[in-house]
Formats: sequence, C-alpha cells, structure tokens
Amino acid sequence: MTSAVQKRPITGPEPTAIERWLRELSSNWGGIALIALFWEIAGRLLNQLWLPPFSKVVARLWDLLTDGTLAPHILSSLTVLVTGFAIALVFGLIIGTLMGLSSWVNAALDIYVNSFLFTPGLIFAPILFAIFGLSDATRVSVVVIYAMFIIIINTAAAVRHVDRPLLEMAASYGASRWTALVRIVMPDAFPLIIAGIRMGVGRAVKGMVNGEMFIALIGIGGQAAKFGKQFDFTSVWAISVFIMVIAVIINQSVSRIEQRLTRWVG
Amino acid sequence: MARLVAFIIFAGLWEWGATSANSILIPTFTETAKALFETMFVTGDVWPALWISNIPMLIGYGISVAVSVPLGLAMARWTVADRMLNPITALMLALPIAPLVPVVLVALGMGMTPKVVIIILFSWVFITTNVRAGTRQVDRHLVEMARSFGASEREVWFRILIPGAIPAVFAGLRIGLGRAFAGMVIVELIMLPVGIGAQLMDYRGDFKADLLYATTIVVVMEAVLLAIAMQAFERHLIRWK
Amino acid sequence: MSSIIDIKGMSHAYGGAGGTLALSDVNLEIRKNEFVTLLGPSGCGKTTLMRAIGGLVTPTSGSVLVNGKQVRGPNLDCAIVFQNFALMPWASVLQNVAFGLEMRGVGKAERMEKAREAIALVGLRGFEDKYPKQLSGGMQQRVGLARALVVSTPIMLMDEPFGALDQQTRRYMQEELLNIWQQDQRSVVFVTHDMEEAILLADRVVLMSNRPGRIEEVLDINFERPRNPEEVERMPEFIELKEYLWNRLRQMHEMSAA
Ligand SMILES: Nc1ncnc2c1ncn2[C@@H]1O[C@H](COP(=O)(O)OP(=O)(O)O)[C@@H](O)[C@H]1O
Ligand SMILES: [Mg+2]
Repeated sequence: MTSAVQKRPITGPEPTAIERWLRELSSNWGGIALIALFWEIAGRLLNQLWLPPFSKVVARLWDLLTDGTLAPHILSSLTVLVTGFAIALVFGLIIGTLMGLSSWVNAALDIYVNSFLFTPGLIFAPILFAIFGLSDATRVSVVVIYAMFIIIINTAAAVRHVDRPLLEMAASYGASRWTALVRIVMPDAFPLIIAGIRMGVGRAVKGMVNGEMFIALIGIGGQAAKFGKQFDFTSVWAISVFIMVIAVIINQSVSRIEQRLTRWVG
Repeated sequence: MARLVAFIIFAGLWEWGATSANSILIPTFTETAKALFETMFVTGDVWPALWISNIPMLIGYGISVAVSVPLGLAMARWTVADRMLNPITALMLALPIAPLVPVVLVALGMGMTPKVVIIILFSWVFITTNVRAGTRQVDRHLVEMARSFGASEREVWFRILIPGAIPAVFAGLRIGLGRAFAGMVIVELIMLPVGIGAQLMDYRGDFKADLLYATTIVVVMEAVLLAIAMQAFERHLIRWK
Repeated sequence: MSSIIDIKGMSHAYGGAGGTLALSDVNLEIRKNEFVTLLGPSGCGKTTLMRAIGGLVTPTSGSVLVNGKQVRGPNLDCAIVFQNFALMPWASVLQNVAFGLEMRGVGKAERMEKAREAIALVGLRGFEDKYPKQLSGGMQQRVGLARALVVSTPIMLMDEPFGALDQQTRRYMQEELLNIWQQDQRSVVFVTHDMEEAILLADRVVLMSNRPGRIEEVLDINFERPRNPEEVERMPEFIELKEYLWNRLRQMHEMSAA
C-alpha cells in the first residue's frame, strides 16, 4: 500500500502552498478592490443616506482616528477584550483539561458547557447589565461568555481523545501519570487546543462589539451605536470597516502563530 | 449521577449566593424556577414574545438556506464561481453585522423586512463557506471512479458530489441556524426590541429579576433544543459516517 | 494473436509539460486475454499507466489505443480496481458493487442479483448491507474487486488490488482471480509491488523503474496454465526468476538512492 485513501479537492490538480497563497491573495485583493469600486459607484448613484460612497467612509475613518474621537474608545475596548479573553483562556484551559481527564467532571458539566456554546452570548447581557451596570465588568463578562466555552470544548475533546497507543508506550517506559500528562497528553492535544483558542479569540472580538452595542455608550461598539442613533451612517460604516480590519489582523496573527506552533503536525 | 450532583451543587450555590447578596437584581434559584414555571405554564407570557421573535428568524433562515447552499455547491465545483465569490465571502466573514443594523433599518424601513434581511446577513456566508469547504472535501478519487464506470456529469453530481456533500451541507445548515438565532437575539437586544428582547428590557426596567432570569433561560433552552434537533436529524440522515 | 491494448511512445507529466514527469516513452502491447503484471518501485508511474489505459488521464504525448481506437475519456472497455478502493462511503456494499452496472443502465433486479453473486465470489456474503466504514481494509478492497468483476469488461485494470490483504486471504484471492480469468477470459493489467505475486499470476511481467517512470524490461512467464500457486512457487525456474527480479529491483533502488 503506497497510499491510504486521500482526500483532495475535486477541482484540478493541487497547487503548492505558495502558489495557492499568491493566487488567493491576488484574486481576493482584486475582488476586494472591485467591491470597493462597486460600493463607490453605487454610493454615488443611489445617493442614499445609508450608503455613503467608499471614499467618504475611508476619509471619515481617517478623521475619526486622527481627531482623537476614537482613540479612548479603542483603548477601552482593547482593555476589555484582553481582560475578558485572558479570563476565558485561564478558566477555559483548566475546566477543559479537567473535563478531558475525568469522565465524572465531564458528565457533570457538559450540559452547561454545550448550552452556553449553542446560545448567543448576548442573551445574557440584560442580566449582566442588571448586576454590573455600566462598569467594565459587564463588557468583560460578555467577552468571557463568548470566548470561554469553545476553549473548554476543544480542550476537553483534545485531552479526551489523546492517542491511546502513545499513552501505553509512555506507561511501558515507566512514565508516571504526571509525566504522561505533561509529555504526552498535552503535546498531543496541543493542536486542537490551539484551534479552540483561535476560535475563542474570534468570538471574543464579536462579544466585545456586541456587548458594547448593547450598552451603547462606551468602546468602539458603543460609538457605532451612538452614530447609528444619530443617523450618521458614514461614521457607522467607518467604524464597521475599522472593526473588520482589526478582526482580520487579529485573526491572521493568531493563525500565523498557530501555524508556527503546530508545524510539527504536518 | 454526576449530572444530578452537579446540578444540586450548582442550584445550592446559586441559592446561597443570591440569598446572601440579598439584591433586588439577583433572584434566588427557587424564585427563578418559580418564575420559569409561571411564565411557561401559568401566565404563558413567554410564548407570544418568543413567537414574534422567531418568525423573522425562520423566514430569514429559510431564504438564507435556499440561496447559500447552491452558492456553496457552485463555488466548490466551478473555479469561476469560486473566484467571483471568494472576495465577497472573505469580506462577509469578517464584517461585523451588529453595528450595521441601523443602516439596514434606514434602508428598508420598519416592519419585518429589515429583520429578515439582518438574519440573512448574519447567516448566509457561514452556510456558503461550510458547504463549499465540505463539498471540496469529497474524495476526488470517487469522481474518477464514477467516470471510469461511465457516469455522466449529471450522474457524477447526483451519485457522488451531492451525497458526498451532504455532511458538509448539514454542518453548514447547523452553523447557519446558530447564526440566524444569534442574529435574532442581537436584533432584539440592540435595535428592535419587540418580542423576547422587549420582554427582557421590561423585566429589567421593572426590577422583575426572577422573570428576567427565567425568560433568558427559555431562550437558552430554545437554542439548545434547536441544536439538538439539528444534530439528531443530521445523525439520522448520515448513518454511514 | 491480436493486441487489444497498444501503447506507443507514451509520456505523461502531471501539471502539463514541465510538471512532474511520471512516465517517459512507454511502449507496450497487450494481447487479448493476456495477463500482464506491472512491477516496480512506488512512484514509478504504474498507477499513471493504468489510468491512461482506462482513459482517466490523457497522456501529454504518445498514444494509447484500445481495440485499435485512440482512448479519449473514460474507457468503458476497462473495469478498474482502484488502489485506494474508491468506495462510496454513503452506499452499502451491495450498492457499491452494483454501481458499474447501474451506470451501464442494467435494470435493478438484474444488477442486484449479479452484484450478490460477485459479493459471494469475493467471499463477502452476509456483508451486503454494511457500509464501507464497517469493513476492514482487506474487505473494502474485495468490494472494489467485485464491482470491477461484475461489469465483465474485456479488460480489467487492477491497481495493487491485494495490497491490503493478509497472506492467507491474499493467496485465496490470487487463486480465485486465476480461476475467474481462466473461465471467462479477459485481459488483465495487474499492478503489484510483490515480486512473487507478479510472477505467479502473469503471462508477462513488465518491470518498471523510477524517475522518470519507464519500462525497463518485459519478461515472459511460461509456467503451465491452469497454475497452482503452491506448485509454481517450488519450481526452480520460479526461484531463479524471483532472484533475478530481486537483483534488478535492488539495482534500481541503489541507482535512485545514489
Ligand atoms: N495527481 C497527480 N499530480 C501530480 N503528480 C502526481 C499525481 N499522481 C501521481 N503523481 C506523481 O507521478 C509519479 C508516478 O505516480 P504513480 O503513477 O502513482 O506511481 P505508482 O503507482 O507507481 O506508485 C509520482 O512521482 C507521483 O508523485
Ligand atoms: Mg500506485
């Protein structure tokens, strides 16, 4: 047997990774430029309040960034994001590992974890707002709820499905339970855990924006909500584009780090 | 067994914490359970609100599925479609929808239409990209096998590509439903509280914390039930996995 | 005897000229009802050669004729047993085996009956309603074999069909294949990297080498038919042939390692 059943895309021969990346980048950038152009033309032709031309949006974004309107809000949002994500990460990893190692813990918690995972986190915003009010704790807890459960689920699954033969190998060479956990379980589970963390980052950003939209006062999301209420749609679009760019940058960096850290998976 | 113990610990902690906090904003576990029972079975207050919120969600999700599944299949099979749609899906995956809700409202006016559109905006790209990715995973060797036994393009579609894509389509439908549901909640909470969102806001304003918690739990239960139903349906259809 | 497959000056590069050269200037004639085995190190283009005969790849240069006609597109005179099984995971064993007949427009009752017979022939009776995932690798491979047998084409292309089988099943399947071939004659192109198997089954062994893939040598195998593998294996000529092939393959290996 030279090859097991391999899965390949059904369209054409497979290009190398670099080719694929170049192709994707160029085709996507071309396409994105086209979309921007289309937006510009549509904005000018339709002449509607809700669809300002792309150039105006970019100009407004520049103004908002340079005149100091956004800066304190960006700072506030990022603080909330980082705090919330850090809490989600620590608790996510601990709870996930416990659920992966102990079927008892898993059985006890899986209903709740899955329920939180299936439920849009923002539904808890009214409760959180009732408890914490306007303090940062409200936004931080929304971020935690958005990000933590995917980390728990992936960590638990990764730890639970650790390669059995590998564990037996370790035991046969005399590894203790702790050594096996550190040397076998964690490295084996690592790629899946990292994937969970990456998804957690994406969800944390969403939680931050949605939570701020709900409170409608502070942070970038709060600014977007404020401008929306004032029918200042150029600014709404500007902030949306800004959030999108930030989300892409965060996502790309995390993926880059993920690839770097899991190169050995091949 | 473990579940029961965990539930008792959880309820006990809640009861104890709420009692000692003694805040009008934090109901005890028993108060919440009582309110849950009331809103579901005695007054039935939760049902009309839930229904009002769900209608645009279901319509929007239906439209989203009808459009996004064929788009995803086309992207997987034809390079041209893939090239054309890739930039759009890439942008849409990253574009935050919540801040744009007022934009849609002004563009489409009040009523149901903007909500349906927002639900579609929330869900379509996830369905399309999942269907595309999954269909591309269909074993290329199977297409070759079918060809070698004389299958036509049509037969390749119906006997290989579509059956092979079904798991991916379902994953897309499941994720899309989750997104549509999130869209419903977000619209209700940040812009147009008419159904469940309005109820939550009222309870919060009137300091009816027990009902606020109970209603939240109902929404969570709906989300979980929808997810479970989708999974069961999926498992039923894809027994060969 | 007339040739049914005629390959002339065929080369193939994946990804077009300038891509990976998988086969270079292959010339081979295969006679009607002949049993030919392709033997060579992995990556020497055995699968590519079979796919060219089956019409699944169009060679970048040269020609492949089957029954005197240039092969263009899937060649329905061939039934292929795929190296990777190529079973539809969502279809039962029975549906998988009947697939080729269905594509040829055979009615349901008839194709089910024929498929059942073929399933019994490869020793899988009782597994008709199982899904591929529920079978071992060896059993899956036999499903692929049954699917190819049941369409009774004049040519059968088999890509390492017994690679995933254990020794005993493998021997049983070799004997069964020889029986089938003896009874209703057809041309078989059989890829293997097992020297003994190549000799046991073949009228001719085509020895291939690497980088780029080409035909090194074609050996006539003249053991009497019908053959009994056990007896053949004990013959001095067999042992001699085996040693010869062993040395040739080792040379190739050393050349490509150098
Ligand atoms: N689809 C493909 N695209 C690019 N190269 C291929 C493809 N299939 C096979 N090759 C290359 O062609 C050569 C011959 O492959 P193959 O015919 O599968 O050899 P074998 O079956 O003898 O192991 C190998 O170097 C292989 O890497
Ligand atoms: Mg091969």
